[in-house]
Amino acid sequence: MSVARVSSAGVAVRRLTRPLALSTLALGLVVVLAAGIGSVRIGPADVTAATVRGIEGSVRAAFGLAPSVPVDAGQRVIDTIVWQIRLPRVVLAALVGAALALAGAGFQGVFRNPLADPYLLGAASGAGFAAALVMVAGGTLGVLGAFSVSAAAFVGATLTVLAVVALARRGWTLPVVPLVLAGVVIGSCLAAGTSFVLLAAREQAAGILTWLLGSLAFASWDRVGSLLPLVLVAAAGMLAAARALDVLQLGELAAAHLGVSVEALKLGVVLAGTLATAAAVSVAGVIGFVGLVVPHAVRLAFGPDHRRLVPLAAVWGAGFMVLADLVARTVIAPAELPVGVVTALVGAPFFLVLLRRRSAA
Amino acid sequence: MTDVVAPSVAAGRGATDALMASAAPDVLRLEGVHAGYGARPVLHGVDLEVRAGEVLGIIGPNGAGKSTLVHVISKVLAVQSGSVWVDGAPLASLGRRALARRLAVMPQAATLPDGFLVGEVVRMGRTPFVRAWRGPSAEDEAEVERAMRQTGVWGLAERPVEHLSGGERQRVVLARALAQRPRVLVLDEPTSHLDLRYQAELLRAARQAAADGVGVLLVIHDLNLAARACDRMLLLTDGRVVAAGTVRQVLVRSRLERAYRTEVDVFDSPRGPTVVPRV
Amino acid sequence: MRSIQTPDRFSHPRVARASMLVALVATLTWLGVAFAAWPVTVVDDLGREVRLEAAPQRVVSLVPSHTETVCALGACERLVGRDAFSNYPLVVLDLPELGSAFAPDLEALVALRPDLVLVDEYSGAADALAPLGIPVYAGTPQRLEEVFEVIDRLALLLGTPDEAALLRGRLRGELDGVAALVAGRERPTVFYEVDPSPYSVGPDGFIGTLIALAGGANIVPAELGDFPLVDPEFVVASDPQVIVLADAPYGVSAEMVAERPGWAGIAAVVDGRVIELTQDQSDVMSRAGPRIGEALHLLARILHPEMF
Repeated sequence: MSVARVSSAGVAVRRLTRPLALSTLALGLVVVLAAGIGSVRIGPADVTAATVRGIEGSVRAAFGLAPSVPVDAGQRVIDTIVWQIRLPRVVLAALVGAALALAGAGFQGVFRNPLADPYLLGAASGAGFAAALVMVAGGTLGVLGAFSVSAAAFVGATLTVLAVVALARRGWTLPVVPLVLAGVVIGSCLAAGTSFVLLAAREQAAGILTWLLGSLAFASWDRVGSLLPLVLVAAAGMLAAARALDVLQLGELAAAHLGVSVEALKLGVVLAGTLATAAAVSVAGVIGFVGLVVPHAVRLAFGPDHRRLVPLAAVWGAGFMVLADLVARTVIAPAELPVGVVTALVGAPFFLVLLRRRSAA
Repeated sequence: MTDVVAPSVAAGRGATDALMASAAPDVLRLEGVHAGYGARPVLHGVDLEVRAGEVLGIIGPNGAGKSTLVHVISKVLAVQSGSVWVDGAPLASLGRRALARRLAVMPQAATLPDGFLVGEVVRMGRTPFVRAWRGPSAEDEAEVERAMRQTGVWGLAERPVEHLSGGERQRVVLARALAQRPRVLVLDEPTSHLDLRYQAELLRAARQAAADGVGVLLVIHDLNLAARACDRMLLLTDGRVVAAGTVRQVLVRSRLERAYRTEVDVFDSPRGPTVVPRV
Repeated sequence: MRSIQTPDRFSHPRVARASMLVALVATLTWLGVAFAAWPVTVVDDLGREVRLEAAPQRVVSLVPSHTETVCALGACERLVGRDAFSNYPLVVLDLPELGSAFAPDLEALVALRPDLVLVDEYSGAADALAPLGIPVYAGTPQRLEEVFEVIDRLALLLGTPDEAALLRGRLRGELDGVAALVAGRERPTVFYEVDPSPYSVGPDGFIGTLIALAGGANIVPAELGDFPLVDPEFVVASDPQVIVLADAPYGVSAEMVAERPGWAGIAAVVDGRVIELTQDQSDVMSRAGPRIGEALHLLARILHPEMF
């Protein structure tokens, strides 16, 4: 595996630009593919035209201009399908995948354990419990309206992880083993609470279960808009921590010797990862496997240094999620598979092949 | 209590180097340091100084407080009382980054994470100098290359660390510490698990660092290697300095028998004393 | 209007009266549609105002009971799409299927260009459809009386108030008729099993009310709620005289019930009064729609077989 080169910039500098550019290109192709396929057959020309009209309409609206010339009824239906249903769903899938993969990369780095995933510290259970409670209470919380469940899930995930951190901390340090233990224990506790809510509220059980299994069925540009800034902030935090995460792989003591503020790093990465996870869970429910497998696969394919791992994991997480959702919504249309089922079904064999090839090499 | 003996002209190479070094400024100084873990005190008033250009050996039986001393110096463990100065600055006033620019530690049993390349690991030594959102500067790269050449790992730059031998790994870790371009270099048991050739190589690299003006603090179990590598020595027992001075002043049979609680023979030779326990 | 009118049958006075009634209803309906006060506004179970500018002609129902109600209101031919579980009346099986309410195929739904979509209040479908500019009614009846309210609301939206009046009258008649038939008779105790967990139904819910009307005594107390998970021990201790297996279509049988630890001694098991519902019967029982009379009749036959 020769991924290094000698250059004026120094020895053993792994390229970032080219794999990132190629991966982003691949993501773009996947997005175009996913935008072109759906239960309603729409030709590439119409998809493109509808997208252009959608962007034009948004730009006009942003500048307070009147909508352009109205289109006929048939075109309006296509515009609605492409611009208001399919594209937001594809973009939301990409964001959710990127967020989960970012969180997974961060957690695996900070816990120095390839089995860490975004839900390790109880984010999923916290979000699930809060979402279930709100759904039982009628699904809306005052002004939040349609965003009530999302908002509750976000708050539930964040509060759970903060509680776990508070329980596990010793003064200003954050020892890893108590942290993971507290996460597992509080997570189980909240999962039991969710099970109880499910049993007690049979009428809403199907809705809650669908949410818990993860779904992108009700995507919208509003949801994309609410997720994007959170993911960007988390990504910026993770990228800022990338070099320190590399050093942390030497061990906490060695990292401290090299000037890394280990406790601040751990807390920062846990917070950034939690932000990304909570954001993803709030709009798409609990989608497993992406946060575990994608960073790991990227590490096997591109090497362990986080300055490459973090951005590449985000891009590959996005692409993987878009593909998984494409499968979920088309393979048994008009019915839908839970996207979490697809991520596990597709992710597991892919991961095993990667692992075997790696151990054979 | 502290048995500090003035350097003697009778000693060999170590003593003369130490005499020359005594003119140099101290880069590490501890005065009356008490430290420990929670309610358990380990160090009871330790004084020491390391001058630029010298190798100070820290020896002592297991549990004497050698690792605690390293933790105090590297600011992983706070002092309970007493003071520490690194390169003239009080340790308490130095942040982690600022400390790492002055003092490097080669930890005992360092781990090297799989998948990283030798060059990447050594470059991590520049962490305290690299600014956020910026790549390493040309100066950083020059320091990395210098440290790798000095430790003989330049040719291994592109090799994944999991493919290194034990001796190569230790030299990579030393290169990482040297890449910090420290004023003080703390080596914590750097030769354990190494064969004779690698022991010699590593200690030669440490002496070279001292010759370049670094103050080296060498924590080491092997008294005979210590005798060959150090300019001065400090014998630590139960958290106290029980002897300090030249190699010949410290490696004295009666002192060693008291400190290690076992009978030893000390044989002198032109290259320094040799200590062998009676079995 | 689909009424078969042959001369000889027309001459029969009852048929003639019926035909005149049909003609009258048709006229009233026409008048109703023509002079209905459009636009109409209905508040649904999510508290949202559903406003229609004109009578909807392309209706999608993602709830089986709403599908039945729309058809019972004479608007079956206005349905253009349905959810996977809508299977009655049979003509709706020809409609395009749009998946489940929790993850409907939104693209296919929009492609049908509906001017009214009927959904339940729990699935979140309303939140997804409303921004697309499609009128959505969200809400399902949970109590028996709500069945009548929903009929009125859907009729208002569809512009079929007279069909609603007739339907309500028919359903009232069916309910009252059965209730009168079983009135004063001894009320057998009933355990109604929704699934083998076992989930049951409370007396205040829609099925529980039907049980009471059919002359049965539900063993589940009201304070457990409408769909409680009950302790098998409680069922054994209550010793119901009749057990209704609404989960029989999903593989539960009277033999399996008898084999449950301690259940062999329950009166219903001893007397052979463990009733397995068919899929059709189970659907009728579970849908708070225009077949509640049929559901009540079914329960009454189960509880008082000697009367039928």
